[in-house]
Amino acid sequence: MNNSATSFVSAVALALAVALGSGVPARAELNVDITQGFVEPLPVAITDFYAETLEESKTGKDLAGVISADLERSGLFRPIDHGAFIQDAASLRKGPRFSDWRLINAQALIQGSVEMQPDGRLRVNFRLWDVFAEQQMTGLAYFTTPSNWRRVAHIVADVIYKRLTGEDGYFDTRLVYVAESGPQNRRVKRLGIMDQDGENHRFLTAGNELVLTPRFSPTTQEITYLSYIGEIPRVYLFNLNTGQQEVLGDFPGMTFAPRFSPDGNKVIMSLADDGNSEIFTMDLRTRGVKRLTSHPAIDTSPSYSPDGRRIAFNSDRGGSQQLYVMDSDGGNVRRISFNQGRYATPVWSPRGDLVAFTRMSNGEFYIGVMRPDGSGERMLTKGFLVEGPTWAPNGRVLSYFRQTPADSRGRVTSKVYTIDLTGFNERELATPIDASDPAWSPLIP
Amino acid sequence: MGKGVLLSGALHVAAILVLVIGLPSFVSVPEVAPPIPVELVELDEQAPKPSPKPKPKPEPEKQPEPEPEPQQAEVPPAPKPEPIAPEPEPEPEQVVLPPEPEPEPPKPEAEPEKEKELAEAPPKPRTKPQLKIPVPDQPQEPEKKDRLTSILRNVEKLKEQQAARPAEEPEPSGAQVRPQASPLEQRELVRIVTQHMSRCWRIEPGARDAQSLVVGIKVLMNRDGSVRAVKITDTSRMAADAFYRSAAENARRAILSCQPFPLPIKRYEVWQEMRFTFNPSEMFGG
Repeated sequence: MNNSATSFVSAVALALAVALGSGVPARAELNVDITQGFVEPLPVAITDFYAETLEESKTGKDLAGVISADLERSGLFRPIDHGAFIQDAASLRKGPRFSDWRLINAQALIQGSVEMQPDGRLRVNFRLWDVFAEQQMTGLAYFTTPSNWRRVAHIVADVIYKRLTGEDGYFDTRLVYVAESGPQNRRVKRLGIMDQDGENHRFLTAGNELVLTPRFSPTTQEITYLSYIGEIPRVYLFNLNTGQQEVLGDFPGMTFAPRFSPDGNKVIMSLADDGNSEIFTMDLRTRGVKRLTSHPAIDTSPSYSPDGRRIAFNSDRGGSQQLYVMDSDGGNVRRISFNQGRYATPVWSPRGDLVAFTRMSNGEFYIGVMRPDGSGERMLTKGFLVEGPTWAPNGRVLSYFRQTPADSRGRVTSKVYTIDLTGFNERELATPIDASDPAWSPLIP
Repeated sequence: MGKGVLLSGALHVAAILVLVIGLPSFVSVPEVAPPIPVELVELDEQAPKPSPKPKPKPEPEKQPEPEPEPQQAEVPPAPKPEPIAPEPEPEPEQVVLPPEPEPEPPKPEAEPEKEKELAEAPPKPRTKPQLKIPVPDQPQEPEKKDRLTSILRNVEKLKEQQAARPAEEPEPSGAQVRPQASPLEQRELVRIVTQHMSRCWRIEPGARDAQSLVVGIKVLMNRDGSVRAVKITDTSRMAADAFYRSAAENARRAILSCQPFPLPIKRYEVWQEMRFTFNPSEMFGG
């Protein structure tokens, strides 16, 4: 009794002493630096959009299908097979059972509904849920004519893409390209246009004359392209909405169609002046032409930065054909490419952080990117002939074309591809016939 | 005898005091503080906080979808492509949906939680192990190797890139804890967490300035290794920067999807509070 009492006393005394002596202990906190992760598409569950009638249900399924295909194609998302879904569409209307979606490792859940309105319009609702945080990330409704459902699907996919990545989407866009057919020496080239996913394909010109290098305006649904009248290259301005087309001018010695300035009010191009190619701008309203370079070397392929303050172009002024950047008034010229081989067709990303280009080295073509100061150069893809990079409006994805060498019968094939700027997720963009020179539209206004 | 009673009484008071105030720090029994509710995860069952902001944001969408197929045959040589009339389809209007079927749960990051409150949460294990989610979809091996070693691809240097950087074990690069655990022990705990998290943290290398999106997240843990609360620390940047927001939400998802953490329960007091810093710059090659 006495013994245990004593030990108790000493234990308590010690405890008290330590407690008082050290004061209130600081709260521990474990600091953890996470520096290693992995790159893999985000698993998302995209449920068929719910509807009451059979017809609407079909639209609901189609909507989910297009959204799913858009997200999958981006390479950033992996739509989960519907067969794995646990919660059914009907009960989902009352709200997600998050644990069901976590079980199949869906990180995000997309649900929606389709309903025909009394006025004949279609109402499309959708919600995006963060399954692990158990939060709605966004929810929107759209009204449209039923035949316009596909576009609504792209718009919804853009909203989801933006909410999950922080980046603007690019699904509600189109590409114009040069559709090619016939033998090499009598190639028929006409303009084709299609949605970014290859749907709604159609031809814009008949193929009576050669068309080359279409370029999209970054602000309007307008393109420029080059065509030949006899031997003389002529530049056209083509409004896709109205179908109206006008001649910008005949430009001897021109090889690429002009590119638009970021505000869409000017075009920039290279013209042969006294037999030497220099860079000019043309105001689209006044048609006033201004010369920017004056150098005995060949300067071509100008492309504006998205802020309009700088211009990338290529020049052989250093001996071989390399990339240069200058201020928009033609001053402060500096070379940015220094690797071996020749560089061509620089295209400034709409995001501003990169310049895409074509490079030819050791008998191979590359599509690459570098920062506007020349650092961070990476080759994204290569081939016998890869050319004509064009950016999706969010600056995340590039399109270009790839040609095979002639086969035994002299036939070549040419196809349009897309690739993510990380260099992964290269995909063919299927076209009805051979295709080259893609030009990506801005988001459709 | 009277002395004995007095002593006994004093000791009892002392014992109670100890119980109330807490044991000395080296034993580190969790403080007994009034339970302060900390929200998190299973908020869907809680009282709905209807925040309906029916902002009808009619966005006049132009519908420039050209309609008639141009007849290529009819196009005359002087290039006059068939006009592509704009489709008369009305533009889809956009309306912001109020979170209606399931009122949007209050967002943790919007919560005016104080760090103190987070810190004082009772460390009692949750009875509902509702968050023990199996994570069936561990990263798969095959073509991923490539991606881990070079998250930004360079076809010209592919072989060199692969050779240069063998898939390395995630190295815990930061490990500081205040008192309690020995540096060695802290490092071991951090190693467990970083290794565990490397299978859960999905990064998006193509985002603009992805390498500089460093996200801090404070986490409160339950004894069973599940997550009691997560809080993204930089709430102002969350609101202002869409890239940061998605990176932060992504990091939060990584933590939530990675639970339970395989941490030793006897060292719970060391890891019951963690401060995560997600920094992808190393993966870009520093």
